[in-house]
Amino acid sequence: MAMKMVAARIQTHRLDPVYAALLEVGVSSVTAIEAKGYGEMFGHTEVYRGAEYQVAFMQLVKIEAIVDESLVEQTVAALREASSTDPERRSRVWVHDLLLGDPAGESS
Amino acid sequence: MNSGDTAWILASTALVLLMTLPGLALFYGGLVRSRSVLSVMMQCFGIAAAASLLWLIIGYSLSFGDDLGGVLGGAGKVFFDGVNTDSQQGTIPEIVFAMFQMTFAIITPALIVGAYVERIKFPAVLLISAAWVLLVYSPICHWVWGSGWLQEMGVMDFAGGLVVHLSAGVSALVIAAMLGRRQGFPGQLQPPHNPGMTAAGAALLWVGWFGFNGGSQLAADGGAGMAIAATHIAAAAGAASWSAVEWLKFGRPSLVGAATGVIAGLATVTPASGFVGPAGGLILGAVAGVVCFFAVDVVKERLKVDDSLDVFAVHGVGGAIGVLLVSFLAATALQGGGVSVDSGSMLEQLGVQALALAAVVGWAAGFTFIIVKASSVITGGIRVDEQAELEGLDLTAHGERGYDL
Repeated sequence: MAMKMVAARIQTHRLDPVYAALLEVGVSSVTAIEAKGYGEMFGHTEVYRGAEYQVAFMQLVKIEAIVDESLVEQTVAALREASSTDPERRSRVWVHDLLLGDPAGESS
Repeated sequence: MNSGDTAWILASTALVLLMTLPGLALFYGGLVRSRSVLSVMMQCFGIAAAASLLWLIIGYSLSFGDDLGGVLGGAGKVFFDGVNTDSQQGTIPEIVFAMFQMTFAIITPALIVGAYVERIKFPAVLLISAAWVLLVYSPICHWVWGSGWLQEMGVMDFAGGLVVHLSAGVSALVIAAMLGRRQGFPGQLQPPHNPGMTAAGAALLWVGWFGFNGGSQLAADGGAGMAIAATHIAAAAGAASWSAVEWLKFGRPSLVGAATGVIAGLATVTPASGFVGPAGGLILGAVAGVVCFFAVDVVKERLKVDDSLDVFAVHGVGGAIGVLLVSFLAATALQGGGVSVDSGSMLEQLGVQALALAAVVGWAAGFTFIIVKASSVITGGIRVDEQAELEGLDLTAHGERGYDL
């Protein structure tokens, strides 16, 4: 059985909706990694005492879901949709092929 | 001896110490990078300890010992000599007065910490602060409060606009200019690492200021109550006006801005607090929030001096505004209580205030320059190397980390 990793970077406050959406699809293995990143919707300007500070690296959550090939399409859609309420600001989602570390397939 | 007065000054002594530890330590600690938060707190603790010892040894005597030519106190009160439980200062025991004044000698050099954060050697902090307490703070304190020449001229400085805020602000600007800017200043600095910590510190300063200004009445009476009223209203007005400027300019009012406005209002009302009513406090606070906001920009963007936490813009400029405006705001028409300027003309008082301001600026700037030069020779430059600055002073100077992340 071929497994895939579906991954995305989401804003920290979208973790709960993403978790709910993945649960609905039936994804049973998810890692949420607290991380910092920039690009897309991350990075902004803060003002303290009138001085502007460019803050490139923002706190975000990296989601890594391990799913069966048959669930990939649904998982990608669910993750994308739950990543933001604004269709214009949804996260990009990647799918990785996985090479299993136990060739005998004992764990699958 | 009045036990009511004594009780209030004992309480005020604790309140003013609270302003430095932990008030100022938190206020400044939140504004720096997470890698230097402990160093800032350590600088506050180090200065508190050093200034206390020096005050006992000779600082109190230089400030409040028998007058020598209006310029300095004599050596008669070295090691609090003759200051015992029976000797009096006004209606309170002199030991209570000496301890109350000690907390002022602690916070004043600690205010200057904001000028040199994230890049100064710790031994240089101790050396500069120690010399500064004896050569800058004590003489100015004597001039204004210890029967010195400015007091004889009738200068009005109720709780330390000249002695504390202007002297610290001017010296901060001089040290910052001599020390040089932080790497990345002004374009690529990291923002304050913990605004909540800064707000907590500002809140403690606000409360402690009741002892600073209310205690300076040296009595538990209506004058102390009026000083606290003016002080509190100035803090509120400072927060309101600073926030209003930010709101108009950037579309949002920030917590760091409101907290800074509070401190600007408090520093500004300090010299006037016992001479003005609540209306005077309101005017001083409102002016402070706006003028100090723009002063930050002038120092950092125009002068390009990295007075990192805006000691001059907030305390120096605020103190100067209060020192000058008290000439008018003490008028009885504005509910000015106690001493007012009705006897002389307001312009005459303004002249005295301006002369005092110039004298304090000159003395503080000149001696701070000399102190920094001398300290630099002793410590082999007062600045840490580039690598230590990048790694942060917490680990490189103190071997500790603020956060385990």
